[in-house]
This record gives sequence, C-alpha cells and structure tokens, in this order.
Amino acid sequence: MHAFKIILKDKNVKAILVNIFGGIMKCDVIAEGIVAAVKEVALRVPLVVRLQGTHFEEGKKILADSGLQVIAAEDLRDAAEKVVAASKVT
Amino acid sequence: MAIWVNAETKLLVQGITGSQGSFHALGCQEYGTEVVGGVTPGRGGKVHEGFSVFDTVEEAVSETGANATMIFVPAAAAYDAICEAADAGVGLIVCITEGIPVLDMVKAKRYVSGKQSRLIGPNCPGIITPGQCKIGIMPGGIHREGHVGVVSRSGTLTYEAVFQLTQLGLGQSTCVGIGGDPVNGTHFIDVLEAFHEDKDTHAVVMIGEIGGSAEEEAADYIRREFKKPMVGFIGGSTAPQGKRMGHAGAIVSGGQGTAEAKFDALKSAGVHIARSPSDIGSTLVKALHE
Repeated sequence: MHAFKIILKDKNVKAILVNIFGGIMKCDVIAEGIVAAVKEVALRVPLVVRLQGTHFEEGKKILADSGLQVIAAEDLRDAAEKVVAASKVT
Repeated sequence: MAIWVNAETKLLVQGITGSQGSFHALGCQEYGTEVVGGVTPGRGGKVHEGFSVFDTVEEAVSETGANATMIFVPAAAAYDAICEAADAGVGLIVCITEGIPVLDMVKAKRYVSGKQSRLIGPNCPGIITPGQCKIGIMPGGIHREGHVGVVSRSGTLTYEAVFQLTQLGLGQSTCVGIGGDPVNGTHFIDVLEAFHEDKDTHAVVMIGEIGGSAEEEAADYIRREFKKPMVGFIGGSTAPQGKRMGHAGAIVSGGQGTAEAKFDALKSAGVHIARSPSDIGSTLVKALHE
C-alpha cells in the first residue's frame, strides 16, 4: 500500500505492474495486500498483477473475487505486454 | 548425482520456532526433505509442529545425525548461528536470513573457511535438488528432475528461470541461490566447479546482477575450464549508477560492476546471453541445439 502511494506521487505514472514470484512471500498475502491497497488509495491507473509461486492459486482467486479492475497476467512477458498496452489507453 | 544435497541429506532448522522457520521447515518436509529437528536456544526438549527442538546445534547433531542446517534466526543472531553450526561440524550451512551486517559476514566467512562446512548465502533462497531435497524458501512445485544446473544471486529470478525451464521440459540437477549480499559463503565459481564435476549436470544457467566482480571472475573461470553449454543473464541493466537495487550487493559504483560489463565478460567466455529474463529458458534450448 505504501509502495502504491509512493509510485502514485509521480503524476507521470500511467500504469502499475506488480510482479511476484512468491518464495518467502506468499501470494495470497500479497493479493490481500493489493486488494486493501487498491481500495485505500483509490487507484486511478490500470494495475497489472502477475502472481506465481507459493500459494499463487489462492492469490489469483482473491484478486478475481475482489471485484476490482485488476488485469491478471500469466508470465513475465505477458505482464510486460499487458502493462505497456494498459499504459497507452489512459 | 546432483551437487551438495540429495536424498541422504538430514536437515536441521535453526530458528525453527519462529514464524518463517516454522513455515519453511514444514515446506521442506512436505517437499520430501528429511527434516530431523530444529534449534532454538531455551526451547530444548519441546516439540514444535512435530519437530524435536534442541538448545544447541551440537546436541541436535549428536541426537539426529543432521548433516545440513537451514538458518532463519534474526540478522543480529546470524553470525553466532553460522559459527555454532560450523563448530558442530554440519557439512552444509544454508543461511536464508537477510540483513546480516557485512562485518559479521566477513568474520563468519573467515570462521567457516577454517572448518569442514560449506556456507551458502546469506540472503538467499537456498538450494534444491528436485525430487530429492529442498533446503530453503523456493516454491518446490515449479521444479522438475533433470540435468540443468542453476546458480543465481537473485531468488525471484531463479524461480523465473526454473519455471521457464520446467515449462520447456528441461528439468534441473541442482539449483543454488548464492544470495544477494556483498559477502557470501559460496561464489559462482564454487558452484560452477561442482557442476563441472557433476555428471548429472549437462548445462548451466547462471544469473548474476550488477555490483561487485563475481560475474567477471566467473567468466574467467568459464573461459579456462568450463565446457558445458551455458546461458547467462544479468539483472539491473537499467539501474542508475550509485543506486542500490534491492540487494545490498547490487550497486554500480564508480562505473564498476555494470550489467553491460558483465554481459560482455560472459559473452566473451562463450556463454549464451539472455537479454530479457523471459528469454532464459528459450536461450538455453537454442544453446543445446548448437
């Protein structure tokens, strides 16, 4: 959440990519954090999230069930392409 | 055959009663590693999550026959934990802990070098021989048994590379995370020498990052000695000079330690270069077809 606030201080930011390959971090914990953060900061730019690794299925489900506008990406290249595309729309 | 860890490895966990130590002790056990117990001073004689807890490493080793240890203790206690494991004669010490003071590591490294132990890390994901033994925090499920050795300074990039290899049907012999700190127990060259000797390792993926000169030194070694096909990637191409990129050791200072210099060194040593982290797997496939 704090990271989103820092990033969004820069008005030139047109999209945010979160790429997590969870080892020590568990993806479901990350996903809960993302959901809370998006609600808290009232996110104004597209958000692409790529989750893989420890508990990634639970994490993806949390994001999908949240009802938030989160673009899910499968791998690193997919995530990069989606976030670039999203940044050009706005 | 693989390197350093296999089905015979008996693992202790130092700091097993902490939340991370506990979670990952269970994770390693679930993967199939023989976790024989843990150490937390003052908690000896208790049973935690089904694991026997000992006060000291020495006691744990004599009771369980452990030959490897995984360290999760807080940074301030890590120096003592490493030295204690070395004193107890544990053959392999894998230190996951992040944030250990550099001076502590200088002393710990010096201490271990006079003993019979190998230290991997700190600030690393650990080591895994797929299907046999996992010591560390990496997600076990992305690995597959096979013949590609992986060595890396970065945790997440290791997972990324392994994930691509597995998806391409290329299993791994052993994957070693050497850690992102400026002073670490095991270097690229130590791992490459072991892969060189290992008949089960047919090719190697090496992932470096900006800062220091470990990749350049490895390139010199590769040029002289290492004949197996190799792919190299260096993290931090876009890093501004003087900016520390996530890892304590990942900093370009005084124009030294840039990604370009490291890519060039590896390339001139005959290593196939992956320019993007998402190309690591496909670059190895190309290298193997040559």
